[in-house]
Amino acid sequence: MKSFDEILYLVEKPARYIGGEFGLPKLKEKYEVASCIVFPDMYEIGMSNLGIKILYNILNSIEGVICERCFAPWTDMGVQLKENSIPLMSLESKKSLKDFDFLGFSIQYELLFSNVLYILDLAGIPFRSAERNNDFPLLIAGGPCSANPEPFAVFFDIICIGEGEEVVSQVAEIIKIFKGDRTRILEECAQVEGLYVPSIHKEAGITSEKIVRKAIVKDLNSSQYPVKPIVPNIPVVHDRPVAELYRGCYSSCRFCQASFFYRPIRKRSPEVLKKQIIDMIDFSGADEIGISSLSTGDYPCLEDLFSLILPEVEKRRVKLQLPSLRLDSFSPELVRNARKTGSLTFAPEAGTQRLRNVINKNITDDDIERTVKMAFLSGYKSVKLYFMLGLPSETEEDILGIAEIARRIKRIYKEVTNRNDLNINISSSIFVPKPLTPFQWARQITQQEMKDKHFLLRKELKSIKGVNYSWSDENVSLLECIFARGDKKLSKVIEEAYLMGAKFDSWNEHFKFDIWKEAFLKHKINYEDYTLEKKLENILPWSFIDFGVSDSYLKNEYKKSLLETTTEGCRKECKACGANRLGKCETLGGST
Amino acid sequence: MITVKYSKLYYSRFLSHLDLQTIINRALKRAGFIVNYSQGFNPHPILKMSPPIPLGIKSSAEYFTADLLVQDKEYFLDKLQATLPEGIKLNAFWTTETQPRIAALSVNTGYSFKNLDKYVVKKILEEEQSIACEFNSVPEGLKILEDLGGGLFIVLPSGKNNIRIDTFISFLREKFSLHQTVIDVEKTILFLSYDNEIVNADKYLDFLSKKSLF
Repeated sequence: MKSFDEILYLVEKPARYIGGEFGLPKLKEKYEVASCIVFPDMYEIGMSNLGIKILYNILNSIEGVICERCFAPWTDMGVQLKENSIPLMSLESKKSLKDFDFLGFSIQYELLFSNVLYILDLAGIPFRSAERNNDFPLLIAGGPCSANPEPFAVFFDIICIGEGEEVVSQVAEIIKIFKGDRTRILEECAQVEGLYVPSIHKEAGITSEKIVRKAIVKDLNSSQYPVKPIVPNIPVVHDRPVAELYRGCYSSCRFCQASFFYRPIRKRSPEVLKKQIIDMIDFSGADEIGISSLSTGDYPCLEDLFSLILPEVEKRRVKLQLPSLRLDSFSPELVRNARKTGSLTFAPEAGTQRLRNVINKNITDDDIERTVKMAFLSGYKSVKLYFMLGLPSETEEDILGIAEIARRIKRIYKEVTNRNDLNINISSSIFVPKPLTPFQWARQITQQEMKDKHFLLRKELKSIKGVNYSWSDENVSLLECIFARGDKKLSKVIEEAYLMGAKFDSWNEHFKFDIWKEAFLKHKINYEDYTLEKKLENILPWSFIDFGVSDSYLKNEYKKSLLETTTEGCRKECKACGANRLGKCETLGGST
Repeated sequence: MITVKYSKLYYSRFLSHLDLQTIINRALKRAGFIVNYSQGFNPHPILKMSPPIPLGIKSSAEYFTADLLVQDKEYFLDKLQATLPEGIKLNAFWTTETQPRIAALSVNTGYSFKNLDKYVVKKILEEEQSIACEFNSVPEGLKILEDLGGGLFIVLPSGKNNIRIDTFISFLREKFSLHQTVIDVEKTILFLSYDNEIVNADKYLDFLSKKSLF
């Protein structure tokens, strides 16, 4: 048997497991509640996640509460831990997960479900809530997957639907008061807005009555933000502090779960952001700072923000990183300020105007032309384009339209620069109908259709010089669809698949669809049923949750999509989606 | 130009050379010390590190040199220490006129081995000659001495005829059937070649910094 220190010599990148980074808050010596944030993916991915930084910071600031972190150990470490009977531990104090009062799991993505069980297994914690008594910590789940928690609900005691920052303090307080009395804690939590307690909300999944309501942060300006972030010792995926401009999105792309999940729209003021940005740079010593939101170009105070922060970041030799700029929101100033070493990235999502109308992606061919022209004039030599295949009503013409866009961009580059050295990278993913979107009733295309569409686009793009094409795994998209709209029946499948060896499904080298197929078969579940079109009157597994956005709004949007009619974004006026029932929605036209 | 000597202790021994370079760079920045940037197409802060050691080896003899003006040594060390991750400890400080070129001049590295079986220590000492032979090392390269407290002090050549400490440990393990998973090793001295002499890097830096006073 080897000790933890010894096995560090036997694994790849041991620095993932050592903790001790700069910026750790001093853990209180006396506390009543010990919590641990668990991120079921690798350190490098988890440490790039803003949500867990926010919650970690909040929990550690509550009197009598400490919070630590734990990430999924890579497979080599998992083997060592098991072989040497070392239970999975937190990074900070190397305490066994089993010894915490509660564990908060952040579930970002459907393909992490197997890793939740991987972590519980390594920690020696029984998988199902019903199998755990007072000797085990309370398990709480949160994150974007709470849009439909049913497939994993049975594993957790409490699920936080929506935004966790206000709810998490309430949970900590409840646990502080009723520590040791599991039943009472769950009863109390079931009263808190935003908390779904599967053992109490028994109607969940089979009713359309709204029995749980999504939690939101009412005011972003006054909400606690991690301006003293932990600085990882090793490079992580997003190796920079991030400022969050606003929540929600002014556009309403019909496939986009985030757009509906994070409503109502709430902004941070440029003044608050400026202070947070300067604090983060000075505290962390970072060379780069990220500006994040669902659509940064749509932030109404972008110009004010830039004039406030540009002198400050330049003085400190810090670069601004602007992700996910929406094409139609580019201004010459933004293009100039963004990093020019990288490539211009945008997501038309569909190849023709018709299909873009169906999905309500309000970008026109003219927008695309104008933007790339501007980018080429300011020196960009590389363009990255994202598309989706298999969107509702897609035809061959729509797919060929993708190649047409590439050809047009090449022509413009030639006109502007008189050169031929443009690089175009095209990526496509398969459309996954997600809960809480107007397309939640739509079908996902079959495996055969996926293959045919990939083949067609590959053939078409091959003939264009300078274009690289990459596409997502067909089986991954299928599994994503099954779990995104899945129900309680799928928990047995997740357990089965984990026991047969499924883990790190979001990693190509570990994803084995055959395992999943067998697990479905064993439990007599025809997984293709989950990809079929749903009737508007069906009760959906997530129908019991009040997300603010009303069902009738989503239905109406779905119907409009079938007629190829667009809905304007909410910048000019409120479209009455219903989200403002939860809190004030800051559309430009004022709130309603 | 300043040079700082520091230790890599506890879990920080698992931080790689490259990771440490980034860490020190950022630590200087957050402590508020602005390192001069190189000229050229891709300006970067001038920061030089002593030669890399393998992951997992503790050290109390690491150095970095930065192009930086420091007025108050105590203030600098306190401020920088407060911005470093756990396990990195600053030990000494020198100001020099020119770059000390520590990596380029380094010829030998001294490691102290602790908690070895007395019998094993004796055997290793006895076989110094044959061990040196097996590594094809010139006599002044590899040295095995008895250390205070019954451990060993082993000098390995770095630079041209480099012997990696992890390779050497594996060798000892096999030859003397050492069963401990972790051998308690710490890099304690870096030797440089200066003026045809082999000197402790600390002494050399003392000399260099005195020279800069005149």
